[in-house]
Amino acid sequence: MRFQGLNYQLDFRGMLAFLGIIMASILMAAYAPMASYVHAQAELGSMVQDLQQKMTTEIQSRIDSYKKTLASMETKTHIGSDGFHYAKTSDQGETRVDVTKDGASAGVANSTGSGVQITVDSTGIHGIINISDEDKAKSKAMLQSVVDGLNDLKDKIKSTTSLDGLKNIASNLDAQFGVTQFTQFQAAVTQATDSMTAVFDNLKQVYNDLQSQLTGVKTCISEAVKDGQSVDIDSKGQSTTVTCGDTKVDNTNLVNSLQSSLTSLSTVIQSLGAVLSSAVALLPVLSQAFTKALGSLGLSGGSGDILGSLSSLLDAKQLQSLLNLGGLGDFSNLLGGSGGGMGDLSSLMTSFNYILSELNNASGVMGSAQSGLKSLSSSINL
Amino acid sequence: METKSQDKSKRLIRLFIIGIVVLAVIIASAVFIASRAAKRESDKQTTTTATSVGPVDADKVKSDLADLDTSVKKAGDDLGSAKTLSNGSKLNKLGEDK
Repeated sequence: MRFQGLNYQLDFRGMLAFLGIIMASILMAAYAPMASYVHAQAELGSMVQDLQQKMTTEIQSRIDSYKKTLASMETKTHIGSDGFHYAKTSDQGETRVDVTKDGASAGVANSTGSGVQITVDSTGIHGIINISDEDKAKSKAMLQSVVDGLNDLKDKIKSTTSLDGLKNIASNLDAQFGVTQFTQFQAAVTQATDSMTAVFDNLKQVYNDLQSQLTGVKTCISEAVKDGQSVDIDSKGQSTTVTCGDTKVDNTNLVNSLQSSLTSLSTVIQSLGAVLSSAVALLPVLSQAFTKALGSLGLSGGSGDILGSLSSLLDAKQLQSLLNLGGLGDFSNLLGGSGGGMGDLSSLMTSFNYILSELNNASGVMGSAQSGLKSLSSSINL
Repeated sequence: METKSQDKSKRLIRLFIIGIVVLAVIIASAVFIASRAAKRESDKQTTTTATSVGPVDADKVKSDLADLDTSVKKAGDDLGSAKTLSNGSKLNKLGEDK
């Protein structure tokens, strides 16, 4: 090769060396941006994976929490349709009946809003307080739809490879956090109320057992006296001692004393029933209001598909109204702002908390009734 | 003659008295046995009454009390869970470390 103006001549080797230098220069010049690009891509991929991991972990944590509530709704401690008590886990529906047989005529408190009369007579306490199977199923279905939506979302996260796509999903999920937590809270309050009605059932049952025993002893003693059978009259001539079945009760004075204590407990159990019946009547009203509020937030896809849109991305307007629900982290503060369907949810939160505080008070009464009946049972039975 | 007649009368009176005493003993024994039998019967009737105190026996009460305990425990757990959710569920915002 010969360069004009230069007294410079390259042979073939020289030319190859020259081209090599040129290529090396080009490569060196291109290396930095290429390396930077590759590094950025790798970093982005790592961030995507990291975010995917964190989102999936958090979603799983929420699913586990919601499933715990669902599991508690499966365990039943009510009196069964066969008239016997049972506590077991089952998917089977149950029909609650009053084992005293005449309870139905005394009124039934249920979640359709009908009134209740808890009555007491010489045969025991009567009246049924019941959350309808339909309302329990609805509450459970709402929470289950949240779990299903979150599971779908986990799949969506796996198949999303762009950072923007993941951030979009995260924003949507964060925005709906308050609503899903409320769904769980609502289900938990429903379950707590249902469990308390089971306690009422059982208190009533034990009360009626003891009343039946005392009535039996009374009859036994009076018949023994009437028939002139072998009875012992105490020194004051006031007490009749007779053996009546497997009970410790052997005289009229003791029967009267125990009857008086039992009758006092009936007042306690009645007041517990009154609190529970008002909670049972209020629950379906609040649940309906919650469904309505969800509709206004664009989350209700029909009665069987509440929160069904959880795994779908919301539009900007829906997202904004949900974001107005407040910050994350502390559920008690979630509904503290204003805007969107928030006003409805905020007052609902107050109402559900009211039920909760009533249940809390009832819980104290429940403990007194339980220990009172236990004490009476040990005084009556051998 | 008179003496013989008097002796005979005395013997008859003695026999009569002995007969009366024996009869009294027999009657007393019969009364005693009858009263014992009546008492036994009376005791039996009291026991019969006792078995018909009512349909609820001690075992049923014990079983119902156990069910009551189970339901009270569950109600306590469920109420506790609801209160925890009401007081503040510390779930993290997505992307935040726990």
